[in-house]
Amino acid sequence: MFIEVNDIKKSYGEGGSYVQVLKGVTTGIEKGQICAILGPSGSGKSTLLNTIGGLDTIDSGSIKISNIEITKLNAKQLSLYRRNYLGFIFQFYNLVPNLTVKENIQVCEYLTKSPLDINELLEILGLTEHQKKFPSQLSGGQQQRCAIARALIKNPELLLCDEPTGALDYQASREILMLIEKINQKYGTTMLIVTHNTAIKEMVHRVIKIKDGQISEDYANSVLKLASQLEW
Amino acid sequence: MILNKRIIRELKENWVRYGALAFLIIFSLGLVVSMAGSTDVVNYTIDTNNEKNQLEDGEFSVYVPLTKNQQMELEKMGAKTEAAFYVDLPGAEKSVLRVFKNRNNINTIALEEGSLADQIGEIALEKHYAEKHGIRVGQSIEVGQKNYQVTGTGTVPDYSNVVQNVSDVLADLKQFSIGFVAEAEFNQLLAGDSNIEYNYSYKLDGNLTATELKEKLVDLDFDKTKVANKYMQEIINTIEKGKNDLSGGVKDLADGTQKLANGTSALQQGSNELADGAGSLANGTDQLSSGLGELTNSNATLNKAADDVFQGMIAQVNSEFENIGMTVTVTGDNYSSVIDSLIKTIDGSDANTVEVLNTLNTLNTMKAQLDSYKAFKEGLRAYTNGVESAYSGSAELSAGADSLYQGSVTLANGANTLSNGSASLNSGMGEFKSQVTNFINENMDYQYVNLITFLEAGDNQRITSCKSDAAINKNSALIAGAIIITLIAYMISVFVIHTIDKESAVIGALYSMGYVKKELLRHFMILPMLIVAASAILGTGLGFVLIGENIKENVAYYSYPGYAMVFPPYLLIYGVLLPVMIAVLVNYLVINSKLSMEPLKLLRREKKQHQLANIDLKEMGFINRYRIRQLLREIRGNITMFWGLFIAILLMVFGFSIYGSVSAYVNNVASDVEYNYLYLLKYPMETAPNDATKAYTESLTADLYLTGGEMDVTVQGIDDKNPYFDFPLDGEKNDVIISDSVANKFGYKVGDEITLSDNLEDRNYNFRIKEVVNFASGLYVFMDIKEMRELFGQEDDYYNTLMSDHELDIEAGRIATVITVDKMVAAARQMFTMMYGLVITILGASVLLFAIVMYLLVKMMIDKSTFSISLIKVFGYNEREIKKLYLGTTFYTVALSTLIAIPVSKMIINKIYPYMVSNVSAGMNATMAPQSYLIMVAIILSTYVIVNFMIGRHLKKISLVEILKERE
Ligand SMILES: Nc1ncnc2c1ncn2[C@@H]1O[C@H](COP(=O)(O)OP(=O)(O)O)[C@@H](O)[C@H]1O
Ligand SMILES: [Mg+2]
Repeated sequence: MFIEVNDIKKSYGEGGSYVQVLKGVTTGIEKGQICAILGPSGSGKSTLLNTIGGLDTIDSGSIKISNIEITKLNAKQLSLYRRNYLGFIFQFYNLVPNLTVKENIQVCEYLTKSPLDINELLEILGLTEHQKKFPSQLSGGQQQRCAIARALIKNPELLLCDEPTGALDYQASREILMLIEKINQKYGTTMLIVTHNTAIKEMVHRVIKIKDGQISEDYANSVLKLASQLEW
Repeated sequence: MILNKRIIRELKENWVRYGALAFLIIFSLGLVVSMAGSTDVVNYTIDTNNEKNQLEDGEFSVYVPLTKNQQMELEKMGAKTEAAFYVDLPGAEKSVLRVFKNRNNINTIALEEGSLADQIGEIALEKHYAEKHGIRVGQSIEVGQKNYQVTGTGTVPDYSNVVQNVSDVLADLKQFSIGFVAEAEFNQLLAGDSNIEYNYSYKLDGNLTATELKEKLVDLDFDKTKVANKYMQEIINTIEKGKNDLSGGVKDLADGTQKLANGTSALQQGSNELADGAGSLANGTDQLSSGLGELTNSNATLNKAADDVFQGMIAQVNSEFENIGMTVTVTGDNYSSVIDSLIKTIDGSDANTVEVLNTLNTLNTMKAQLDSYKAFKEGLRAYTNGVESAYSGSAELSAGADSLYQGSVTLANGANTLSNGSASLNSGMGEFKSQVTNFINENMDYQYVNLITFLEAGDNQRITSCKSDAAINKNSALIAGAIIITLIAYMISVFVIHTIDKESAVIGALYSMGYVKKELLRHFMILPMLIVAASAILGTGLGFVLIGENIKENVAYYSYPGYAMVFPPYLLIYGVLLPVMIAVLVNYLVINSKLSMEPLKLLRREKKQHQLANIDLKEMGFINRYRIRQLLREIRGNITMFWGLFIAILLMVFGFSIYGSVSAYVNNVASDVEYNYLYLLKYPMETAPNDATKAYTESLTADLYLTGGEMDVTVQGIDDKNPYFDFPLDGEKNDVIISDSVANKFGYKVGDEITLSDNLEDRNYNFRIKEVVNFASGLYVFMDIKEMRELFGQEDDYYNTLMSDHELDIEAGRIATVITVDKMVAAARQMFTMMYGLVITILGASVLLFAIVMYLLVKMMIDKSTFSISLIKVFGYNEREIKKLYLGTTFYTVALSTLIAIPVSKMIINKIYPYMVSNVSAGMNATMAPQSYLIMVAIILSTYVIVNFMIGRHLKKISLVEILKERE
């Protein structure tokens, strides 16, 4: 297993404001798979993703990525782990506003010794003609594509996406999903996608449904739909 | 790192902000560096020229010029001396020109133009004097009713501050300066004018200390007959006359004794030949009678002279005591017991040092001398009594012929006694005469010391004040600069934080991709470093460029050769490295703490909400509540603004305080001083003019805590009836009344015990302060003239100062200084003019700082609130209301800063101001007139209004669609 999550529990707050967000989550994901994490708002999806990404700590349990127990890493080692393994994509892109598309990608190119070819990536993501533009000059979809390129440039083994299409319209969302699919095929990147777009579950290898901090459903698809064929 | 590309764009986008900050740095560093740099340039120029022109180690003046031998003796001991005699002569346009002869070894003349005077009728002038009177080289000038050709202009190191008297508050280069003539010319001047100051400059070679030199000069023998000054000659004559009377008396005594001896032998003979006849008796008695008569005549002179000598010795002993620091006074009656008890005390003490032994020795010698003289005096008295009774006996003798027989028996007895006594008297007479002569020669010489003044270079404001003047400006400028740089560095960090906050989600994203804090910290530090470093370099450069401008005043006021630029390394470090280091430190601390937030929190744009932000404001109206919430939300910006405004206001208070203090000084000098003329006399007349008020003035020094050094104070003994002062002087013996100027300068209070010292005599005087009175000019300590005379051992009617409401007709040679109220006020005014430029600079800088700080921070806070402003615009609030909500907040901060900063700044300035004027010989308070406060508040308010207007225009530009751009 590439990702092994074992009985993780996570709570926030103390006393009156105490909430248990993850109540013992156990699962494993194979390398190269796309996995969708579905569930209602507030169910703990982002929390799960963040703990796997080493951005958030857990109260108990264990998370192993590529056999590294990341819950035992200190802050510095966690940065290194993220630097070496992870790419992140957020709902609101989080691009550096006063850097161009290409420069935004280069920001993360800096983090690895063996980056992907930036022009090829621009091409794949359809950003070649926009590469000199600033984020404010782009549409939401274009910005998200730029964010994807930024996450991919260092060729991460694991790509974590938190609602990547959450702020996008139908068409743009579909394009993003098609790209995700394409990248998975081309680079073999393992992907965890948090979403409340249930249509996605048909195009991914694995579906994990979370409800109230626990896995309510966890299954693999034997037949995958192409992203271009999804409808919602 | 590619991320760094955004720095240039950030700079471009916010060029107003960073430009303004850079401007502030450049501006303040420019000022500070030029101030400090000009100080260094002045110091360097003065130091190198002092070395080149052989600045003296000190100077002294004497009544009688030293002989060649004495100068050689001093040189052998380790003190090279060169005569720097001078005469003060009337020069151009009612000025006084002090004329010296050219110098060879010490304090040599640095020519600026032309050449030295080497012919009769030529003169070289101090450069500012020549310039102020428009006299060029080659032209002529009338000095002391004689025309001189000006051969050159220049400066000397011992008159870099060209004041007439060492204690003058300010120089007036048009009214007083110096000139140099050739030796031949100077000798002619010497022949003509008797009012010459015999001044010498000295340089020590390291084997001799100044104190040792001074002691040597006090001991130095001199020829009283050579005293050229006629007034001094008068004094010497009076003393010498007493001595001559005594010698004359002794001579008369010897003659009389001889006659007496003759007479007694004749008497003896006569009494033996009594039987031989009355004729022979009559002869003998006649001769005896006339001899005795002659003796009786000289009795009074003799006794008085002997008494004078004895009193002289007693005075001598008393002054010895003072010299060794003892506070006892002996009289002719008690000296024996006093000295005995002193010997006992010292003998009884454990200390057995050489010093104690010496003291004991001195005391014993003193006592023995006094004893022997007293014995002689008593013998003399017995003898004169004998003569008198013998005389009356002889009268009786010639009168009573009838009682001849009875009388002959008595006579035979008396004659025998007389004969015995006169024989021994005659033999002792020779010894006595030589003793008296010795005594006169040895002891009465000691009564005059040739030394008049002794001044080490370090205490001579003509030499020191140029450098110390500059030093004070420099230190305060450097400190002020560091404070402002820190403020600006902090402001920059606030803006960086603002950027970080704005981009916090982006930073969170970068963290989540594996960026580490170190990398981002480095990135965010670059901009502040860049701005600070670039502006520090520019500012420092500007500072060096401005040195020429800055130094102008100093160059115009002090007299030294043209300056050369220097680039002291410390100033480069201060100007470039220090600001960068401050910026590194401040920004590191602030940015580091910001970047230490967890990535997730950054991603969620969670802000460290201040506790205050949750304060309960239910009771308030909506507008106030909103404003206060906004204030608390932007607490960091508001605190920064508070400090910025605080420093600006501090500067403002400083500027107004200088203005207030100097103008108060000018006014007080004019109003406190009631007399119009004050004459300090070197040689007071026997009888003072009737239209003047007598006073007694001495100059002493007091320790000045501000500089750790000393400063001259003037002790003035005044009469209770003095019309120019209205305070009572009937206190205890050592009670003094001090001027507020003294109280201020030295930090004295009523009831304090203070010590003033006479450095020439190495004596300390203790006083108790009874009262503080208003007297702004100079540094005066007043006391009762009677007590002062007693304290300084002067005669009952002594005076050396005359005060008057009109000009007095006094021979110039008697006058040491004339102080007129007009001159004092003019000097004070000049100080005012000199400070004016500084005041304007400080006020300008403060207003600029105020406006920039306020504008930038308010604008930043508005920027942060763009979203909410856009939102409430959408809700339908109009511009006026929005202004009220957002700019109202600023008003709170401005009002609070003003309310707190004005009084606190005033307190701070009050504390540091004395240090800034520590070398001015007058006490000055950092006073601010009430209208200054009003002007300040007006400046603050109008700056506030202007800034608000500019921000208002900015508010107008925030569009309704701003809300749509924000994606969250
Ligand atoms: N930092 C936090 N402090 C307190 N509660 C939190 C925090 N982060 C998330 N939660 C709570 O945890 C629960 C799960 O959140 P999240 O994982 O973001 O849900 P979602 O499934 O919508 O992504 C929510 O109820 C949320 O309120
Ligand atoms: Mg979520």
